[in-house]
Amino acid sequence: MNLKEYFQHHKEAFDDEKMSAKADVLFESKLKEALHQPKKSKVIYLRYLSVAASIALLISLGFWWQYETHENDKNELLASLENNSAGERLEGVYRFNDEFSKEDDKIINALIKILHDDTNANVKIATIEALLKFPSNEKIRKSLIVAVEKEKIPLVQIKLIKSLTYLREHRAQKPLENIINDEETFPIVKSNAALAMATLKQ
Amino acid sequence: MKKIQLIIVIVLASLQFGANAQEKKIKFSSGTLKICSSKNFKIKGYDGTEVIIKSLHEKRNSYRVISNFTQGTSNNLRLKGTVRSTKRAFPKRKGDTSYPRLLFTYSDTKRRVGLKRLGKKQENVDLGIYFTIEQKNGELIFKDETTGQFVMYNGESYEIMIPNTIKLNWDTNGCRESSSQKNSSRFFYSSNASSLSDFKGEVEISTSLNNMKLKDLTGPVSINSIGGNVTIEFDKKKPMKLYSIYSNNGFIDITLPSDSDLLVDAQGAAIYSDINFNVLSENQEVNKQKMRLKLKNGRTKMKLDAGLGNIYLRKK
Repeated sequence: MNLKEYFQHHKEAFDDEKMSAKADVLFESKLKEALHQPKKSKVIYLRYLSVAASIALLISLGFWWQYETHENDKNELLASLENNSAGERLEGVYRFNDEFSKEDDKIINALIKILHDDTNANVKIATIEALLKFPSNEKIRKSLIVAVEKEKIPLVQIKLIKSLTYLREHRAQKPLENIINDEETFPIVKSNAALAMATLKQ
Repeated sequence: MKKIQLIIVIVLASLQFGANAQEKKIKFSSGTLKICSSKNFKIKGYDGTEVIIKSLHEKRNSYRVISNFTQGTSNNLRLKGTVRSTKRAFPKRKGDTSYPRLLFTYSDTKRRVGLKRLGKKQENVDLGIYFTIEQKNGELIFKDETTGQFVMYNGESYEIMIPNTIKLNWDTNGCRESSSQKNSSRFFYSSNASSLSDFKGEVEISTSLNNMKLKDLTGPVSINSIGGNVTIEFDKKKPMKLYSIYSNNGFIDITLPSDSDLLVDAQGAAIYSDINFNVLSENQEVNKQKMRLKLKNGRTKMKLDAGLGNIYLRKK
């Protein structure tokens, strides 16, 4: 007797069989499980969302902190560039030279002001070195030409002449000519200017 | 001809001093001491409140040697004091508008015996101090008298004690406002090295050809020189603040303790040392060497640029 014949033979017995109480409980638990399923996935989704939000917040905080630090560093640097002490200004210029790699208008303007107005030769020379980090900046190039026109401290004049030669700045020829023809120019400055002229004319 | 004139001036000037060694004390404990003089100074820092000047040379006698190297007429020559005789050493040649002129003057000393020269300026001269002293806007200024003319002061030497609480700004070119000053191409210097030692304040030194010897300065120090040599020694102290030195062709020679906490950026014709530096970077071309050197954590920056001169870094 196969299974099919067995069922047909005992059909009545199977129909009379009542479902056990255990089965109800089992069914209910299965039903609950099935109904709770969507709730669980929602929780997981929210968890992911909160983790993602936390990461985003951390990244934002990181960027904000970095920005704030940079701004503080920048303000600190600008303050030192305007300090009355030549030592402090020098510290500022060297710090910019050693630690800052990006062009910043405010700092560049402060450095150009030093280039034109500072009274300490060391500060000016260090500033020229710092400005040479951005050789393609037109404002810097023009400022160096203006500076060589009016500078009177021999050592700074020499530094400016060498810098303009390094930049291959042909617009510096006229001021260089003036330096060469000026009777008051220190001889070593004249010879540097003459050498620069020869190089720029090549 | 110019050389002969200069030699005569130096010889005469050096003959005209008499012994003197008195002190002048000036109350000055904050602000800037500005020395605008090419004379020889030995300056020392100390924990006090006065600037003390002591002349180490011999006091001048009544001869005065005045030289005018400016162009034009002799109207801009101003002779002070009782002048008995004045002679122009080299008569002006026709058509020559640019030549040095020398005047030798002599005061009659016998006539003033028992009298004292009046005037505030004379107080300094009596002490053998031949530069002007002025105090204004928080600055104490020592300045050579070189307006359009200059008197050769060869052989003059001063010892100055300065409080550690002040700032020193020392310009051997006379603090000239170059744009408004003629003869900016002329620099005068003393062959003997001036010195500065045991000072804790900020130092700015600007010189053309004068040699400088510095000892035990904690910094910050900034020095610039065209052809003068700079010698620095750390004996009892270590460099604590920024050192910045630029020279066109003078050497830079530094003796320092090998346990200094330093970051040295050195650039010159050649760099020599017996210190075991940590070499961070180096670049060498013909007659140009550039190095970044570190000792310990590199806390104090030292920026050295000797131009065409050499850099010597010695172990103490």
